Amino acid sequence: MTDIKERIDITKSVDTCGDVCPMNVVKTKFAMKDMQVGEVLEVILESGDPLKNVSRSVKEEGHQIIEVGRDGENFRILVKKGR
Amino acid sequence: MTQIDYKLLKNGGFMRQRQNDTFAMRLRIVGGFVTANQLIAVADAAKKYGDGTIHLTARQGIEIPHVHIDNVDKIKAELENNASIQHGVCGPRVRGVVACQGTRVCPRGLIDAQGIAEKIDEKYYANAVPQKFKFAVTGCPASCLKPQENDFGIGGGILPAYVEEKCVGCGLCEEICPTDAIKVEDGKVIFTREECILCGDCISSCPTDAWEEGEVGCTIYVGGKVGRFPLLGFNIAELVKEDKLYDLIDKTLDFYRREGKAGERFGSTIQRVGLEKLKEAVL
Repeated sequence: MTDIKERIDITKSVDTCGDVCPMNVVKTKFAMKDMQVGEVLEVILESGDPLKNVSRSVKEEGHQIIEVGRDGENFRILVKKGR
Repeated sequence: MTQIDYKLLKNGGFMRQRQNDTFAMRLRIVGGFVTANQLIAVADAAKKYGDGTIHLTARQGIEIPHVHIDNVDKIKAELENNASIQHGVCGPRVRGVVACQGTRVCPRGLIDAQGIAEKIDEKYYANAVPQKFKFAVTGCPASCLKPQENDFGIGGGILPAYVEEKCVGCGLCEEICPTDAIKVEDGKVIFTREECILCGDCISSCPTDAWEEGEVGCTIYVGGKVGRFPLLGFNIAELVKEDKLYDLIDKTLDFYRREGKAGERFGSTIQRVGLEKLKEAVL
């Protein structure tokens, strides 16, 4: 598990903790909508299903997870907008 | 008045009701799939020959209740001619096959559950066996169609293959894996095949495609049932290819006909004669 590196410019951040599936997926998708290709979204999410579903969804949408890290009990992933 | 042959009617999917001379007609439905036009024809038949109601069964089937004995032949002919829907079966036979939508609709589907269900229906439906025999086909280990509760359950599975060059050691797969099949230690991935339930979550979530499709096939459960004495099916094989599947089913049904006592569910036969004996005969 790598630490989130400070050097990456984060365009936007979204916290999905406490959200019920599929709200975490929808929130992430919605946040990506008005971002430019190449920009980075930080998503804070709970482990288990949220981590699985959001990771899978951003991959299916053609974006790329460039960092995965822990944030206490939760996870932080950095998603680079792919298209 | 002629004598009513209840047994013959029941074998043909007509079940006696509490009300005199009245039957519920079971239809032959595969995997819960019907066209909208078939549904309209069923609705028309229910209005014409029943009391205008339809019962959706626990096995994705349809029954039309309140059909009078005098209308049995008429409703059969009408559904067959107008909607290509045949009457169902009861009794000691292979029953209606249940299935999820598999690869035809579901993003998580790993096998063509509907297609396999259609083939099973075509090959084995209503075949005589010692006691009722139920098939279920489900597209992935989420097991929505509960293959473990059926006499013969089929579930799609996928074995991941690891591509070391692509792995960045982020640890996401270890976190997502629902079992202990994946461990990441010092950036190195350790995969334990025995722990893997073939769900493919690692493949679909890996950010760098370091997990890819290794092998896709069917997990086979036998002897599952619910009823008065519930029993979960035994997993006897994994990653079985579809071209080998029907041979396995043939052998399983032969075994059941040979070893099963009349009226004995398959799970009880397996418990009585031993799972190893079944495996020897079918695998």
